[in-house]
Amino acid sequence: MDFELTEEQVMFRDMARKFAEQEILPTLIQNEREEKFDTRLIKKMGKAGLLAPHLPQEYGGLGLDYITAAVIWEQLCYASIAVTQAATSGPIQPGTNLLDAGSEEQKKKWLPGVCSGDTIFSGAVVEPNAGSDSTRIETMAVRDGNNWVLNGNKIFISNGYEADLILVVAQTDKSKGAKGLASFLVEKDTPGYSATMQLGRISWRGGSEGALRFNDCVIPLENQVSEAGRGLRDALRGIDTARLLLSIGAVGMCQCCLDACIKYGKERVQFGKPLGGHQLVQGTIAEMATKIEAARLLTYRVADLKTRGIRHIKEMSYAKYFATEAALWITAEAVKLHGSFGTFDEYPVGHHYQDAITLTILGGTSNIHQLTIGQQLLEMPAFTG
Amino acid sequence: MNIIVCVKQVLDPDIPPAKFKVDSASKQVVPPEGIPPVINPYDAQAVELALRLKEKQGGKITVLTVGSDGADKAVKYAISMGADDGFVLSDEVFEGSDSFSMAYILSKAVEKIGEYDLVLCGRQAADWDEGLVGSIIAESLGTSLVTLAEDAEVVDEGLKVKRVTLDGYQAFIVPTPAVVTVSNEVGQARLPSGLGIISAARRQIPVWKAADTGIDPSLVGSAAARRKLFALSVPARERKCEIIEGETPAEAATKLAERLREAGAI
Repeated sequence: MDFELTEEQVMFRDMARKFAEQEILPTLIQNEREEKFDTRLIKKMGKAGLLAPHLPQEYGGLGLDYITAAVIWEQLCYASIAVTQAATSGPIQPGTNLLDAGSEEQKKKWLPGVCSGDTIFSGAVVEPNAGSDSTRIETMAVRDGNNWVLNGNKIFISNGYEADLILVVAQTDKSKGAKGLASFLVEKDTPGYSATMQLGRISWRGGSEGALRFNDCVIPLENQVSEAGRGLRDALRGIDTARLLLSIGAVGMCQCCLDACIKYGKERVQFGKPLGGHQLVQGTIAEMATKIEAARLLTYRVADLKTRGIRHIKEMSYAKYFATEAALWITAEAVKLHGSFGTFDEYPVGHHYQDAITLTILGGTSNIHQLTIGQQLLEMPAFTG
Repeated sequence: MNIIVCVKQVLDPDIPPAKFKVDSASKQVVPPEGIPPVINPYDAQAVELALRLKEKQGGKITVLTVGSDGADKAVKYAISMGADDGFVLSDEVFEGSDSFSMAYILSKAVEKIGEYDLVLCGRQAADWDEGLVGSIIAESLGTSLVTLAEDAEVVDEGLKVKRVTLDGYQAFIVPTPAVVTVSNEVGQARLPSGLGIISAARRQIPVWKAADTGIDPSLVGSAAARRKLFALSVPARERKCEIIEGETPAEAATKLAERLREAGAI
């Protein structure tokens, strides 16, 4: 086992950090205050080659392994997980899904634009009545001659409002449950499709979420990606990549908090010595660093399995569950260590603290991942009787 | 247009001051643990200007650096930005070379490459800030020279260079081949691209030793240095706090101004 990053990974790490410093941080505070995501960042990331490190070069990605992708994502999330997730969600979730399940024609038509940032791509699974339980999806797709007709609603869709292209999971036969779910590509100008921005979040304010509506939205047959029975399973392949981003994103935000705490702990003097000289603070710093290192290694481990195509359901849940719950604790401790200063958004710990709670929800809640781990270890169903 | 860019690795200028240490006995900077050197920022800007010229004119960009273990990283960084090729000049006899010797080493490499229209260097290295090597390369090669360039473009007569001055710029038209040193006014150097990193990281950078370029060993290294460093130390800085008081804010401000004048601060 070699735990050292390769020269290429070091170069990507350094480049991604500089990109985040130059392109994300300068506008982050203002955009968070205005609850705004600047979609121009997507094109900038596409130009830099940071948008789709994991997708093959033949479709416009970099064709890198998932550990290198994770190295890149950690550095971007050091600045902001919400902004990084908003910018990369297209190539990561629906992009991976389309790569795995799409026809060659669909991949050649759409993925290059997704990788360059010219096409904003959203994956639409979640609905008002279908969150963790995707089998309750109510959006219907009904065959009508050479077309499919979509009706229904989706919510909490990353870049849903801005999307040029949406990969929608919809039900083709209510009586079949998950076995009736299929997926379809919908272009934004399709009659019957509309989207609104979802505002008022207390977290993830640098990102973007939208609500989608399909009202007799007619799409051609060739826009079907996954056939009935594979819609959810194929979508989960993309969600799996999103979980990797969220796990390593948690590591990135926590590393930022730790670095800020170490700096502050050396500079801030209270009771006659630097904060860092107090044993309780040293204990907190040690706990933070240990959790971060553990989360990073869990994530690298699953990234390696994913790269090699080895089944990794349990390992992904270990990483996602541990890293995001650790982030909740670490970011809160980081704010506390900074005292009242930490509650202002000029300090990096504040916005990471705001975003941490969302990490434990997106890509499967912590409870879902606990159930997944338990189910795998006990070999007993956890989600159904 | 064939462009050669000379780059150097320096201590990362962004390291915290507390990490900067020198060994006064050996008169050398102590490399901070865990913080690798980086390409000199001015040299990265020279690569940036080279890339802009190439985007307009086409051609090839070759990068040269002098150094030992790890020096190839500076070349690879330039390649990840978009340069085409590069070489490391490394030999034990180069140890302790001063600016004159460095310029000689680089000039010999430029001559070995042969076909070139332009040699670009950063205006100075961010470690010692001497700004000598570019000018001496021009002298060695016998080419025209413009220092402190903020922009350059190819014209019929050769190269038109905007040179930074205190209150504006000078415009020179020089025949090629030419040597130009690039100032920070050229603007921010682009970041490496993803595909550029893949191309650079997977490449083996050739190493040229002294004999490969016909370098006379008696003209390089510490024995050939034309100047000696007598002492190297970090200046001690003392800080003390003095509270200036007054009956009114205006009186306190007046006393503060007087005190600052006494101290020679204003």
